Amino acid sequence: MTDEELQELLDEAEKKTNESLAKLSSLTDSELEVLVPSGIDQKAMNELIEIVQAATRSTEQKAKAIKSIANLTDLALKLAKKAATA
Amino acid sequence: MNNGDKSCYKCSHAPNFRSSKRHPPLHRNSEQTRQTLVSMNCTFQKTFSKARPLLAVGCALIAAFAFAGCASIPSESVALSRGIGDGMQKQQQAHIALVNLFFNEKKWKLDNWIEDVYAPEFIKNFREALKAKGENPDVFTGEMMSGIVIRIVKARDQRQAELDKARIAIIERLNANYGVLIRANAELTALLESAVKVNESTSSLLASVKEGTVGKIDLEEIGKKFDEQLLKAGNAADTTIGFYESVQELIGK
Repeated sequence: MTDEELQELLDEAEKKTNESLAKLSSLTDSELEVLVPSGIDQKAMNELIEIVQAATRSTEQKAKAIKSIANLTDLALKLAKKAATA
Repeated sequence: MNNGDKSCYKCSHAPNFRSSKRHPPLHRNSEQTRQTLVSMNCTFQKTFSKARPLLAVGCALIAAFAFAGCASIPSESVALSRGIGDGMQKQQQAHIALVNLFFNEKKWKLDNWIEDVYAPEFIKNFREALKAKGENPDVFTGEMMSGIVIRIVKARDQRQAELDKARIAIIERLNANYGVLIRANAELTALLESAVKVNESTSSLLASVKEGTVGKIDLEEIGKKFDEQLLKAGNAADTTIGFYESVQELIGK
């Protein structure tokens, strides 16, 4: 038997085997769903993240503004006390 | 009623400025409201008249108080949110480890399947092909054995490569999902952190006013009373009246 004839026989055997057994090693849909749950809408999540980021920036500014007012108040109170005692 | 009682309730202008041209136009139209408040002999006004140097500061503080809002966010909420973030990262690592274990198990099963199912089936089919060619199906030459082994190993490697491809795709998807969740939580943590900062700044501001006015003006207590009134009252008018009475009690103590 030549090498070419042997390869043909092997091809035929492989084809038959794959046809009958191909599906046995693949992942099932339920396995995939367990491994990676669907339902996370990344686009929507990113949009929400941007909104929260904007709110955080605004709140940070608010905190800074109140801190400045606190410093000014402290100063004003000290000055008022000095003025009262003078 | 002395001059001090009749001073403008919105600013610290003295009564002689009230009707003059120098009085801010914004206050000129509120004469009727001012008259009502003056006639009520408001204790609140009295206190402000006594503490006139602090009135500007008080106005700024009330604005800041309203600006900051009344909701109280405990600083522990930031720690809790950070804890959630850390937990999510650990969950991610555990999830990925589980996926790797799952695929290792799959590979082990694949090896067994190749050995127990695929190889015998392949040999059976090869024998049938030999028989169909008129060859002896029970005699395998060295070349035949070598060819069969190469084909079986190739079939196993292909399937293992597919499994690996699936494993990598699943892990990439998992990482993307966890990435979004962790980022979202980090943003919420940052928001909570800044809200806590606002609360802390407001508290220190209110505390310094309380200290500066020797406890006469406790804006924090006034804020609490206002919150209580908001919860209790059925309509806006009730809220305002109840709040006004509470403030009178507080500054009259």
